[in-house]
Amino acid sequence: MAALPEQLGKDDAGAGAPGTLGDVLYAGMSTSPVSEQNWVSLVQAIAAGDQVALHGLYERSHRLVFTLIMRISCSRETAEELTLEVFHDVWRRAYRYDPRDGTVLGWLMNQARSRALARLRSDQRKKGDEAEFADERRALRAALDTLTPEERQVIEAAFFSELTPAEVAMRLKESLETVRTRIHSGLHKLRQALAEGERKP
Amino acid sequence: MRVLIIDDNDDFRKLALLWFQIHGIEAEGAANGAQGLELQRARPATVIVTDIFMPEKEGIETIQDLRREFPETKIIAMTGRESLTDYDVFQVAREVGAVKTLKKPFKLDELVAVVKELSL
Repeated sequence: MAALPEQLGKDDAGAGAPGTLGDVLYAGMSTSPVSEQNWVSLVQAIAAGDQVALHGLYERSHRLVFTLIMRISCSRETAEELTLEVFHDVWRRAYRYDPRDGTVLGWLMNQARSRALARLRSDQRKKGDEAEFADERRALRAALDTLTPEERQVIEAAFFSELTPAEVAMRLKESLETVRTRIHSGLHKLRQALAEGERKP
Repeated sequence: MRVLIIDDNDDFRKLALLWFQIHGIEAEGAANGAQGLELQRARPATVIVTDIFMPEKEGIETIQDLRREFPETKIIAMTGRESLTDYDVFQVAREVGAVKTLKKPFKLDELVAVVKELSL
């Protein structure tokens, strides 16, 4: 423990002896404090294409980024995904960072916050859209039941997987002509089924 | 008649695409403005339905670009989230060239009717 103050001050000339119990207890378990200049240098190195610097920044800050996103999104899966996206963005856009706009950690946390909030809004919006078009979805599900399995297969591939008729033909190992015929007859049946559904009280 | 639907919401886009096709209107979809512009250049649509808030290239910018390149194409702007902003995005959408604006929730049959009316 005697070497602790020296160790703490290694990367930060302004840092003195540990001031709190937490500083003493956790000092040996984590990396040494890093000066803002070191953070900035890391980002500048990343902007110049240094992958080791990206790894260094990730190692030092990904837990913070992850925790913030996790708190906003309440989803570990989302937090893992968005944390990677934040660092992917850092890799692509490090050149945009300007120290005059704030600290590196602040910059990172802003990106994490923005991404988490955008995802939250997007998820809420999707739920809203699903509710908004519930009648159409219900009618469509019933209409799809009137198709033959072959028609339903091509309709789902063409519209739910957004494939072209040629791509559907390739995926299903059918001729393009067959796929086109099934799409045509499938759409015709869906139209009839929806019209009949509307007529029912 | 051909319709291009630009919306980053996959569920809505796929549902609307199928709905148009069922009603005899050829339709194609794009997940963002840049993709929409590319599709429009490759296979021009008579009417374009675009969401206003999208990632990558958002709706207002998309409408401006489409209007510049395809002045004859009718553009419908839609959103359900204009209340999130402090200005009237529909007003802005109209100013940059949208001929109709639709606020969710609406019925897909209403959208089909508007598209048919604009194609006349």
